[in-house]
Amino acid sequence: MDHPGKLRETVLGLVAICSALVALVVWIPADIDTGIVDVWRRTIRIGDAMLPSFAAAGMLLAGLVMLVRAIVLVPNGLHRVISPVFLVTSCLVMALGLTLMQASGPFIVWLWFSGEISYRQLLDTAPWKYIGFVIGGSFMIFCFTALTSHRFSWRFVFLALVSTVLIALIYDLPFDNLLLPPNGDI
Amino acid sequence: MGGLEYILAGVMEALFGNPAIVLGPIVLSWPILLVALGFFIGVLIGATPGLSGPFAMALALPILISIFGFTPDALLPVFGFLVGVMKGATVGGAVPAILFNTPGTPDAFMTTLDGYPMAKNGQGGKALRVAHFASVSGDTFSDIVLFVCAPFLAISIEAFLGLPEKSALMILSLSFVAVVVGNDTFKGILAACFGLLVASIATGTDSYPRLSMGSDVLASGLPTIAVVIGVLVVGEIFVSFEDMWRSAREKQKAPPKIAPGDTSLSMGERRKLLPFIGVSMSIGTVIGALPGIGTTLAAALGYTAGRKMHKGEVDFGKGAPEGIAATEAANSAVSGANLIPALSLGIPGNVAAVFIILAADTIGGFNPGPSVFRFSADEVNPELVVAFALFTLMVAANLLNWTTGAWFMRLLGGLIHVPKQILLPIVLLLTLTSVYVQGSNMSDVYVLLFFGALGYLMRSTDIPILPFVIAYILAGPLETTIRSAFEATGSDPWFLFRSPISVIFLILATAIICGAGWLRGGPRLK
Amino acid sequence: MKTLLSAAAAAILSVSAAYADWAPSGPIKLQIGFKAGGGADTMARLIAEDIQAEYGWTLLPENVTGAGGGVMARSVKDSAADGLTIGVGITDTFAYGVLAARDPGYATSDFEYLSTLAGTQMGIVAKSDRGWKNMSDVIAAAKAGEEISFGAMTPRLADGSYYIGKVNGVEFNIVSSYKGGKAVLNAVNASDVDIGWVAGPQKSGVSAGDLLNLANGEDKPLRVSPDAQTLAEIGVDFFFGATFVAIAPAGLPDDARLALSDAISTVVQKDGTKSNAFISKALTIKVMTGDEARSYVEGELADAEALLNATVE
Repeated sequence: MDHPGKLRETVLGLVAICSALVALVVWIPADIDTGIVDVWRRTIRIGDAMLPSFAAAGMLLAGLVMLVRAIVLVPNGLHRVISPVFLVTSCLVMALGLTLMQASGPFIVWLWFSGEISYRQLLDTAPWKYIGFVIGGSFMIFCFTALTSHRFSWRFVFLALVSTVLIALIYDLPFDNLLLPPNGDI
Repeated sequence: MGGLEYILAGVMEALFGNPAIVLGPIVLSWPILLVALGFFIGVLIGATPGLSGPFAMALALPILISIFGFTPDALLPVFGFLVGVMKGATVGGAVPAILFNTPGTPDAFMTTLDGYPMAKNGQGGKALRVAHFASVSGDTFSDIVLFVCAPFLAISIEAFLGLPEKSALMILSLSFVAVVVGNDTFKGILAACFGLLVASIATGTDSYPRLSMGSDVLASGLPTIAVVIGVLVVGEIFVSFEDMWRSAREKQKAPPKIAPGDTSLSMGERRKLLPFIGVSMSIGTVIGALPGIGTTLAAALGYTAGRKMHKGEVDFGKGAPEGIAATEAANSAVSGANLIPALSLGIPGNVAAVFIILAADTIGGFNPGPSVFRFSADEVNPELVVAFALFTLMVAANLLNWTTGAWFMRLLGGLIHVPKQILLPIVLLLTLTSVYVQGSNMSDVYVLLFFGALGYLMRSTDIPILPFVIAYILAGPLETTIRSAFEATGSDPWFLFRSPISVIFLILATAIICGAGWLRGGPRLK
Repeated sequence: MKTLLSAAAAAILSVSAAYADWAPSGPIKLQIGFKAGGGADTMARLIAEDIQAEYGWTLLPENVTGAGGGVMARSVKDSAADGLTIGVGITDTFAYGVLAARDPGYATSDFEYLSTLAGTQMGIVAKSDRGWKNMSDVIAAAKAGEEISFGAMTPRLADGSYYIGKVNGVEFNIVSSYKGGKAVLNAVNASDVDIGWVAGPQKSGVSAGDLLNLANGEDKPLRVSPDAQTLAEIGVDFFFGATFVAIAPAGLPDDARLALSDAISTVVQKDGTKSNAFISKALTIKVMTGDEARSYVEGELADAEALLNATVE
């Protein structure tokens, strides 16, 4: 593998082939009841497995051609560069942000009322219903702003907080029935 | 009701159907109001480097549906906004290309070639006017083609094509999209097939939702809006994050601000541009009518055609107004024509059409496709009224564009740019929130992020996004049509090959797949 | 500050206590087993609005779709039986759906049936220019050798189509892949199928004379064509209408069950409420509560079993 594009094309072809095979051999037979054709009340119908089987077969074919091509030919490698550090950091930011969004509301309510009232009862009551969204949301905005500009600034914190509160108000004030994240899941 | 009455009813519906403001005899309807709002937001978004029309559509769709609800009354305001954004973003894209040499969208790249040199020569304002004039002309022309062609095509399809032929036509369009978008046949096929596989999850007719792995999150079906926005928008955001993250050290210098300078564009100058605009807008319209081929190709072809016919004193690439006109007329003419396959067949040809079909699907009461153009005489066909009202809104957007577009573009040239580092994280949270409020379910957000990651990976490996999205949206109608065709013919296994029309469609589909591979010949040997 | 906020929260939670013996201790989640948009979803949301207006309770509607209402049923079944989670679906989900699914994950007895809400206007529809007046004409045409395609949007209706053919000695080409009655209506209009089941949207076409209800799938006459042929006349003793129903997890305390059941049935039946107006226009009002509602669902379950036995090969 002397060419970075070549490695990536090979991996891509292998991933396509493997996922198509898994779909064809394991997933579709195990998770669809009616087969490619289906006999129902003595008439033959197209079964639920027809479309996914065709799709997976197409993926398999495309993957095979791509793999062979990647091995035989030199790819015209105009690939973007993927940075593993960036990937790991952004996954962490998203995971932390979503966890904060879901956990901070119930946690703060539990602290405040020492367990007497549950968050479930307050999820339509201000200011409790905003807690999770504002903490989690501004965390995400701040982290990505700081990450992409490579510096910390209190101005970023302020901007993240203000824009999150604005977003919360845009959705919450005009619409009675909309629930901000994570209030629909509590 | 006759044809003329339907058109009249559509116009009335758009202009007066859903009044927002009534001042004596003057009625301003919600649809018109939203066309204007969409148009101005579209110009703004198009003019902001790093954002594009689909961003605005993706963010606005869930919000608009929350505002207007799921009643048929919601269709026109939502369509109006989408149409406004589509047209606004098209003209807006030229502003940063000309003034800052940074194309807001890929298809505005050709505009920088002559626009930026003109701006440096103190003719920035003139260049903006040329771009606007060419863009609006191209847009208006392709809209007229749409108004004439879509009903005609739809009626002939409904009259001549039965279920098997319709199935074959959908297979043909899908193969075309898979092969033509992007520059690799097999990656296109991979993307399209993967789209079909994803669309299979929890759909189907059996009482057990297929491929749902026993999970109730999957059994509910993947939320379509989250899947589409994830791949199209969230993926793009993360790619931008990564690019900014990497280039933050190499401090980019802010582009020098250039005063608009000479802003006049005389009638004589306009007349000299007309041949270029005429050729380019015809190219753009033809390209736009084929599903899947984007504005970028139209812009490139228009520019090339313009360079061949140009004999003026300033060469193309050195600040020739004709170069801007040739590019902008071509890429703007794509947008109207793109709706031809969407409205007459229900096949979305580009991202804007994807969002229009998505809106129609979500709100209900309007199913883009041949059945829309049923001129039933005894009973009013409400979908046809909506279709003509949609056309009216497009005309309204064009009028707005002709009258205020140029002024608005100049105004934006002076605005301060919000840095992408601050803008995009906010857009990410907005996207996440607007997907969440639709279903009040965190799993929708996970689906959004999963498909965002997928979009990021596809962009990193040159797998085209559009075939995935179009296949994903088209899978349902395709499967239903094929199943119904099979069942209605009494389970005839050769139902696709019984009529010459469907055989022709299938041969064409095969020819396109084989032909494109042969034409490109895969990656070149070094 | 702390006491102020706590007091405000407490005040909000206790405001509705004065209305009745039972009041919800927080916002009630209304899980709707239908896609957002569409008639069934609109109906459920209007009922929520009406209860909010009449009783001051907060209702938070959300759409929980999938597996023909099965996902909603499982979600409601797994919720706490405290009156803070209720669902809206169709009786089909708790009758035919339980029997036909491989592993439904719930049983008819897992729920309290708070109140039935509305009924459909199910008919077998064809374009009037086909020249048929009723199903007997279609059956005669099929016997004469014409191929008739029959559109259906649920497995139960497909079984119904098959059973109609079986009883009368003909075979239809049953097209069962449609999603929703509107899709069948479009297919009939576009002549993709010859006849099809439609649950109410055929009304305007029938009034205009373009369409015809060949037969009535309901147990009561159809409003728009009261003289349509009954299924009994072609030897079929089943009905195929759908009934919308509000449910709660089994084991709900009696006071909560009565209060919820009362609130729902009251707003649906009361003149001038939004849900009442909507149901009267698009569907028919069909209210049964308590034991009556339960025995109705159980009756449908028995019917579904009989239909499945009668169509099994």
